[in-house]
Amino acid sequence: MPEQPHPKVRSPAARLTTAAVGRTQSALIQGGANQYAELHCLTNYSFLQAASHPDELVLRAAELGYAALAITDRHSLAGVVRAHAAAKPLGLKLLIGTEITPSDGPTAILLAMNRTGYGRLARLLTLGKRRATKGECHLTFSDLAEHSTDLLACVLLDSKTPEAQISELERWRDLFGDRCYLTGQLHRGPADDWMLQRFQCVSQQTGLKLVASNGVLYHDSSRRYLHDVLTAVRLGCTVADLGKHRKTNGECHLKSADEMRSLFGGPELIECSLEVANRCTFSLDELRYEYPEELCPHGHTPLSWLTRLTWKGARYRYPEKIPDHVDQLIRRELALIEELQYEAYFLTVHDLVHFARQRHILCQGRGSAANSAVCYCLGVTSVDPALIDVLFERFISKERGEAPDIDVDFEHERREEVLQYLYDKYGRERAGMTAEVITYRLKSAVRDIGKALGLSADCVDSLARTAEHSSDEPEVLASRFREVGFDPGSRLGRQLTVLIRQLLGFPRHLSQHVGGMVITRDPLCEVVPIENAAMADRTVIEWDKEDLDVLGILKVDCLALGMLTAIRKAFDLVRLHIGRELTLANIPPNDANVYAMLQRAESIGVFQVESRAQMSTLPRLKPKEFYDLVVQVAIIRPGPIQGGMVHPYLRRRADEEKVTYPSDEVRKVLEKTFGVPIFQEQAMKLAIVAAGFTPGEADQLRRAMGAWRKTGVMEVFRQKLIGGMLSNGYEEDFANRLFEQIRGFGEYGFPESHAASFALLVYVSAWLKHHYPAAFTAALLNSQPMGFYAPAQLVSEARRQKVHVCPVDVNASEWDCTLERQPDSSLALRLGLRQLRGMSQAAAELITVARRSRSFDSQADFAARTQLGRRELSLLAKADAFHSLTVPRRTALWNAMVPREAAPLFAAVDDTEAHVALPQMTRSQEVTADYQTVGLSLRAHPMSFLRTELDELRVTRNADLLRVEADRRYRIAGLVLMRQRPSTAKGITFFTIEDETGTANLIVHVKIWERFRRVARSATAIIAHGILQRQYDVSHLVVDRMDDLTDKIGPAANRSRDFH
Amino acid sequence: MTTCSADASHLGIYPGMSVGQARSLLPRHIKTTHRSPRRQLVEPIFKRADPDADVYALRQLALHCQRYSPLTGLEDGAAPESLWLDIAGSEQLFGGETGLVETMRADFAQQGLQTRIAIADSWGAAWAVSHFGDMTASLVPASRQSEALSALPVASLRIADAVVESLRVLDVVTIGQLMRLSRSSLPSRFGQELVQRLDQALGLAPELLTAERSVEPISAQWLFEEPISDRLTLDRVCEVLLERLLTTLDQRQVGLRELVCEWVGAIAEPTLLRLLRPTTDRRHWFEMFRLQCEQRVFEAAVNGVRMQAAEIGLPAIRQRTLFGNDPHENHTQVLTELVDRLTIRLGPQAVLRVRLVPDPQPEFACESTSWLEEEVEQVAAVAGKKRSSSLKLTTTAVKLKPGPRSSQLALAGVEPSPELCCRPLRLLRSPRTLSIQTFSAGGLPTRVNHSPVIRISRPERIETGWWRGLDIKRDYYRLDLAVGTGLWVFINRNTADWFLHGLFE
Repeated sequence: MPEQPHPKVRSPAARLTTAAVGRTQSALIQGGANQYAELHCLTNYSFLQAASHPDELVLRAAELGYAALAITDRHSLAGVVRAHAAAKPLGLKLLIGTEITPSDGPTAILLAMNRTGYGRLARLLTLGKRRATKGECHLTFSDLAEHSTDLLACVLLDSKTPEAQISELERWRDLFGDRCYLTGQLHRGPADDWMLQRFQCVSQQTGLKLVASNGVLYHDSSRRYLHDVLTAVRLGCTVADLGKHRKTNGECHLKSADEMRSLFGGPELIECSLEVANRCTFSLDELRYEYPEELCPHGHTPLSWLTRLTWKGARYRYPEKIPDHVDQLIRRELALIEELQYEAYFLTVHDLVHFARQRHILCQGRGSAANSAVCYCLGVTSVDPALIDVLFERFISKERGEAPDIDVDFEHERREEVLQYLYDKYGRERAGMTAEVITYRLKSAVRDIGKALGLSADCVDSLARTAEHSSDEPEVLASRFREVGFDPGSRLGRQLTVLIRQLLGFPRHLSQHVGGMVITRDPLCEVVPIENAAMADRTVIEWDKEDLDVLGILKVDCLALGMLTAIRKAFDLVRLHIGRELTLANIPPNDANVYAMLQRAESIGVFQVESRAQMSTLPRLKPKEFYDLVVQVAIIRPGPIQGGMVHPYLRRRADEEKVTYPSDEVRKVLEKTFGVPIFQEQAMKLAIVAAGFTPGEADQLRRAMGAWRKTGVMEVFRQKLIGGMLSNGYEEDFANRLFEQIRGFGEYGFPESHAASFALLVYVSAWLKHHYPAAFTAALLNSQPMGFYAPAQLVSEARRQKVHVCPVDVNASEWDCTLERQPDSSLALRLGLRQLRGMSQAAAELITVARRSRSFDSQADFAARTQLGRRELSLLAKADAFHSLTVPRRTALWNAMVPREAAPLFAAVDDTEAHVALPQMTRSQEVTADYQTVGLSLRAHPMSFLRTELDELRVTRNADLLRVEADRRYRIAGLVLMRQRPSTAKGITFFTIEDETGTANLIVHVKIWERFRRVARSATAIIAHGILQRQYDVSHLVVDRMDDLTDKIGPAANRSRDFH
Repeated sequence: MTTCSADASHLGIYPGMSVGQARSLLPRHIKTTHRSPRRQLVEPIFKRADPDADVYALRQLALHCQRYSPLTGLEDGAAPESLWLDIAGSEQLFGGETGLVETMRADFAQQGLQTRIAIADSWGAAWAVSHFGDMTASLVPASRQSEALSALPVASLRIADAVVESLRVLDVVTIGQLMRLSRSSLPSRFGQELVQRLDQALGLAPELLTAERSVEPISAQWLFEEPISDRLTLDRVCEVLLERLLTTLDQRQVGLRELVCEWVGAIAEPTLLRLLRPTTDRRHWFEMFRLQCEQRVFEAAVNGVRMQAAEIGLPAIRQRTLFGNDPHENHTQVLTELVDRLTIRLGPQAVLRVRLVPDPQPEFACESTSWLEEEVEQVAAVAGKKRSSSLKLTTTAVKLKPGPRSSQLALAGVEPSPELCCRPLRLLRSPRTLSIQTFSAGGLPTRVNHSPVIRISRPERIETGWWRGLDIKRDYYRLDLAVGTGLWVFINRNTADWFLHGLFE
């Protein structure tokens, strides 16, 4: 690798603590009296092998006054960044390395001496991991030989027969020369003296220097219990059965230099550890992120090219005249981008979006990037900065010292194309997905520890289940345990509780981030090891989002969004059948009819606002313009709901409550939302104008809001915020309320820019639904699974909108749902073969290809020409897809059952069998069969067959619920479409049920749920008894009794979509 | 879930569910103080299904039923649940078919079993009527199967669920409907089995009954014409019987492991004899038998002797050297015989061997196990043991002793660890308080048992045992005293007390 120039001030993280760097990295460690460097230390990123977090180890090492600490996770560098981040403020020197065991050699610790060595190490691990399955690493000594430059090797001496290793060690000596050391470890075993002598003997015979280390597995000996448990989890047995895998004592902790000296009988071996530490000068700060360079054409600098693209885009976005404040915004942003040298990042994202556009993949930036006018001009985001208040600091801020975050949504079915484009363009060596560290949650911790402690499977099961929705507060957990009959005060109970609390937050394994891609100029595998993901064709780096943030490495989030797929498919259908070219940008804005439709809560299928909670607020919020949609998207979120903002907002909007502002500044910030803070930006701005925060501090506040529960950081901000507001003359009451509101939506609140991006999709999808319902429904059906509703509801909604829907038919259906021109020149929706459960796309292709010459005239003709197997033929017959051939469903099935492929000789012979008289199907049987095969029926609703019976039971039709008097008892019945238990609703479950006249909402309290548990959980159709509540034209039945109708309805019913 | 109680099915639990699913249907909080006692719920009990045991029990029932008919057996199929009795002719003994059914029903009811009984011309029809008929006992008149069957659902034909389902789709629910369909069109659509089962039910196709037979025990007996009390005669008779038994086993090429010898007519307890390994070695067996009977005193005369092989097994076969003089070869045999001899004299609990256990705590690092038990495990693991006895299971199923020990063994391996080299040969059963006279400045003993300490090793630290009881925290030292003894002592790091735990010799 070529020698790198001195680091430019690029990595923001590096900039923050240059002082600390100067203190630690440059100075050589003096072999002082009281110094020791631990060279072999595993963190909990060696999954299930060690029992301390990297920062715990670093902290303890600093307390003990270590000269240096090596982080040497097994076959991994996953934990080093966290250790680095912890070590820097403490001024502890960190050595970066890894513990490896080649298949043909002893275990050794490899330490990076410098940047080159580090690159080798990362490359070596990449090599070993890419050839193994996920989570494993296969290396041989010859691999090591190829990547040994600038690496130090400390070979672990066997604690049983070190002499046997002598011949093997000669290989290592030849390869590494004087960079090879021997490491002996003494853990107060039965004969440490003797062992040490034998180690020294081996050292003399091989001529390799012996160095002390302690093979650290935890920072403090009190973690030995957890370590036993983790070992048991790793081996899949109980702690009692660990046998020889058990450590005999808890000596694998960080020890003071004195202790190490007395263990190793003198200072020589300890001083040798300092020698090794001194030879390693590498620090993670030396890693520099370099953007790919191929993105700007020859003769341009990245900045000049970006500037040019931006202004070109601005002229395209504002054909008449660029508004003044947008012009200013662009200039200011470009200046900041130049200062922070982020231009290449913007170009990277632009390139990605450009590629997607070329391939006609819909995409749209979301999140904080929508706060940037530059992103708007580059076409990355679609929210006009002239329309909403952009807050560029939310996107990039100098104080934060962190890379900007640009998230781009792509069509969910085609995102893989984008990812593969990145892999192709930059190569596997330079592009990789970000990792996601999966950590122990309460449930998994209870499960694993319970098993390891030898609890019975039943007991573990019920404990884990009860812990699932519990908080990790010891008292809460204890009472939960008591509920299921487990005494938390018993010895076992106390052990369990303590261990659980220690294990919580431990990394369990690495997974892939939903869409974060890291792209570098130089080989990425020399920055961080890359491994195979569980998914084919994906490669993942070992670091997660936060690690990348710390090192200032930028990533691009390529996310998948189902609605974009549906919108693109709808655009395609409209182009094909109507000839109108639609894009996200040219949808006519402010269509009053579209808003009127939303106000009526006719929003099934519309992005975001189709959920039950959204639908019930739509008639109250009555969106009239785009900004109302932004609010609508943002307000029905756990944050604002918990912050108690929804009702004040609705009341004030409906002029039922007076809006007052404590000051003009506050008025300016909150006026748009009637004095209720709804967006993150508003919280930040309030902090700025009312409490005197700087924009950067305000951003820190926002980040703290996300994590307030975990750390005490929020308290600091609370004092600062409230103090600031009081000193600015605000009332304490207002300040406190504001703080609570801000805290309320911390994690779950939307930034305004993000809500605006989503609101745009809400409008587009609503517009499509209103103007082209057939195309929109077809597109939704073709993009399943997505959204809240099953095909049955989407189709019945389309029929309600007067769209003619045609059934699946072998002579008309394609794989996808299509549109057909009707005699009256309206467009009808033809269900596609994809609606058939169990149908494969390949089989559908066979049908469409065979049909191309002429349509099928009989079932035998169909079977002969498509050569489909018995399974597909039966499936089509059951679904009544031979309807146009006038074959009754049962006869078709009867015919389809003959195995054709088994008798090729008779393939040409038509059915000569005697005609069989099969029982006629009743109408309700037909509907049942429709539901079973297609998931919906165009004939009738299954409930309609029960209507006479239901009338006798005095069951009200759902459609009548809007008309009848409220606050009285009613019975309603229907298929259960959905069960939903939002975390904000205190255990209330919302049911949506459907009969032939419409849908109804049920509210089921916990008590009722428990009493009618079986029905509530599993019935596919129910009769609900209860009191009808109505507010603002939204009706709910508060259920006090439920009866099961499943048996009456037969297997017709759909599986409900349950969200818990 | 393979089956559940009526209470459970009331909650919506049905066989075929996963246990987790069933659990989620159980009421979550079982309240002990509920106002109405009617709603009080009992703690659910989950038991592991054991299909082998089910089949075994059913076999026993089949044998029991041989009092009704000479040919009884289990139905065909992977998971049999019905008994078949070929009653041709034997019903006369019970007063006709009705009488037979009544007798059987009463018999089973006495055993606490509910029955559904059907008598028909074909196995298939009887199966169908008993499973799906209206009554718990039904008699299908001769050659009238098709009428009896036509109203029954197609599932009563013992066909696969998939076939039943595809017939249901066509609304063919009863056998009658099925019989109306053209017969030739059935096999291609629903498989050969359907037609075959239909024919079997109608008596048009044959079906075989595999009858149960009780296995003859391997035994030999000698009944005297008059009671005998002469010891010499008895010994001789026993020898002859044992010889006969062993000869029979020789022919089958198996060895005898456990022998039961009953003394007919005497109140004397039967004599049980169990060896370490199965063998037919006459010399050894005679010797063992003699040893066992030596001290037996017969209070009354004996009418006869019955010997029975309670457990047999494959004898250890090893290649012999040409002259049989390899000391190694004899070594194990001599040891085995010694163990047998000692066990018979002292009882199985007195003849022990030591086994290493990979546990850091010295008290638990080894355990003594009975030679015999240890051997049982090994033998069972090597060859499936065949038990043939009227008392014990007549099954070839291998009964392995499950449990932590075997898994521990697997984890532990057998090689001795290097720690062992540093352990004393004599370990006290429990640590004893050490009498220490003086301590060094570092807190280590310098004078113990009134003898100066001349050498003290570096400590070996042991911290373990937290999961089973007290958290053990000890530092072990080897103390060499001036008087020449080596002590293995430790300091309890929780209390700073010193203990003696072993002696080096």
